[in-house]
Amino acid sequence: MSETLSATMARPRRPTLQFDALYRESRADLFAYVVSVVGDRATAEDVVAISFERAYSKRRAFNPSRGTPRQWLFGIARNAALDELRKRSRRATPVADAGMHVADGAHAHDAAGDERADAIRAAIGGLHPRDRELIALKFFAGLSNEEIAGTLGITEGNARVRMHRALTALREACA
Amino acid sequence: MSLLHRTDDRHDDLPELTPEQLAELDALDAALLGDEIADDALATLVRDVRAAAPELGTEGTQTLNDRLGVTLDPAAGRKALRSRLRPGGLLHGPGAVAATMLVVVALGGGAFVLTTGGSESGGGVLQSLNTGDDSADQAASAPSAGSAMPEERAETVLDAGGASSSDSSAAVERDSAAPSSQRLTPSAEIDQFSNRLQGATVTTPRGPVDADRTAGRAVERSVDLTVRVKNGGLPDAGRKVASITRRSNGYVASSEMNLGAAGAGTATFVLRVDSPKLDETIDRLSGLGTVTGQSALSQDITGTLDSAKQQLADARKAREALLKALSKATTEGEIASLRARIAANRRELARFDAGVRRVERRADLTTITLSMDAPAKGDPTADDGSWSLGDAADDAWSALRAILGGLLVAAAVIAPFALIGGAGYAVWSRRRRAARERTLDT
Repeated sequence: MSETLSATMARPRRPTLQFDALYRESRADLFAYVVSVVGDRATAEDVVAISFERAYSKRRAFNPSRGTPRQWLFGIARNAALDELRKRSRRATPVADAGMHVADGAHAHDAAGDERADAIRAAIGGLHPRDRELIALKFFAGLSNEEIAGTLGITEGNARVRMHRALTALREACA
Repeated sequence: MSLLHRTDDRHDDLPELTPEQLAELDALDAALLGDEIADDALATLVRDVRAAAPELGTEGTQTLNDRLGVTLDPAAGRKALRSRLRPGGLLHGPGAVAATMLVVVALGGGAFVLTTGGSESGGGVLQSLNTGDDSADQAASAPSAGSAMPEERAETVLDAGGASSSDSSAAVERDSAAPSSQRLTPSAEIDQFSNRLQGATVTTPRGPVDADRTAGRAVERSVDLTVRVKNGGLPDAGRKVASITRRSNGYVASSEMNLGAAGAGTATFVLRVDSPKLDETIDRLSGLGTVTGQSALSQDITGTLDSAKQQLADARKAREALLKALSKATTEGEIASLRARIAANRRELARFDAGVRRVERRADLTTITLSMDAPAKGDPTADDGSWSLGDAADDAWSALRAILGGLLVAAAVIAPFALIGGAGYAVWSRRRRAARERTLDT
């Protein structure tokens, strides 16, 4: 992205939260994660916007000792996504059906790649929502196990166990 | 697996992973970081899954930027972002209601404290102290018996603001428009009046007795002084009055002190001090507080003194004549009669001599009637209009007390609601969290 938002949105009382940098670095990953949870792009865009709004309004409450900025942001997005799911009272649409969007036609001329991508999307979409969420946090957002644990509110050990199970399920689904 | 997923395992102790499983997770992390791993299948899976990640795309990014107010212009973007990312501010929703309640209750509490806080004053314990040596001064201040000479009198009254008025049997008036910087000391004013009464020219102010000696006049003086001391400072001021009087070679003829509640009270002292030290005595007494009133009275008693001296001289002449007649007396009856007259003359001499000394004493000592009062705390009349650091400190302390009182009342009112609200929020938050987690299991 070429646009710049040089302003530092956090007050310098605590270790500064570079909100603009967090926004630039995380918006794409956050969108991928939220799409995996809520199941459709339009809703995901809303949830991502709401998440950044909430994060901005709570930026002074961010405590570095309790996790990284990305962990904090993904926790906010997770709550917003789950609230949205509750509001809609419906099961999340499988990711593959929700329009896993390949932007800018990067793979448009690779038929084999498209097939493989569709298969992967279908496999992910067929996972249990909890496994799908873990896969999104790990593969799409690139969070560490510690960050995932903080985002989900579980211990790091449990996060590892659940991540391994989700990985196993994904491998089986993609086999 | 579905059973596992249907439970909230945040606090469950899941079975620990084997070393092989942990190695697989480590390999996954390495692959996600772009490192080469031995597990080709996992590496391919990582690559494929990342390639299948939903992308925000240029259009989606622009939509998000627009929605959040992020533009290519940093300043405009910052302003827009601040203005649009506003709904979660402090004074929004429940926060605004709570803050408003807090302010209202605090203000109400403060007003309550201010309304009830000033009721400390009222009738207090009355203490009365009477000391002094009235008899020592009664005779001296009483009019001289047999005095036939008129006594000239002048009085000057100075109020706290420096305005003055004068009253004199000789209708002498003082220029009340004189600048305060040129105001004379009480004894100097008295001297001035005395000299005017005699038609003398007023020169540089000097000590009153020196001036009297120069002019050959005997002047009796009295000064009334009213001093306001700080709240609670009356006992200490009373002790200082006694000390100041002793340093002026004088004595406290009488004193009365009434102490009320809340540091208020009044006191009256009648002091007799050496006339030459009148000015410095007045200065020291004025330093005890704020002078709110001052008046000076002078009375020329030269005629009275001359009359007394003349009576004494006449009696002495009569004695000499009687003694001469006694030396010439020859008969028993004549001698007895002269001796009786001489005895009577001796008594007269003693009486006239005492009279002369009494009148001289009236000129040598000046009577100061000192009235002091200490206002009650919060008494608006206590403020003389001047500003001091003490006043500021008192005001600050009062304001702080009012604020703290208001906050205390507010806390007392809010605390039960806060406890109920906090417990309710905790329950609501726990249930909402559980509901969120259930969302993924449905």
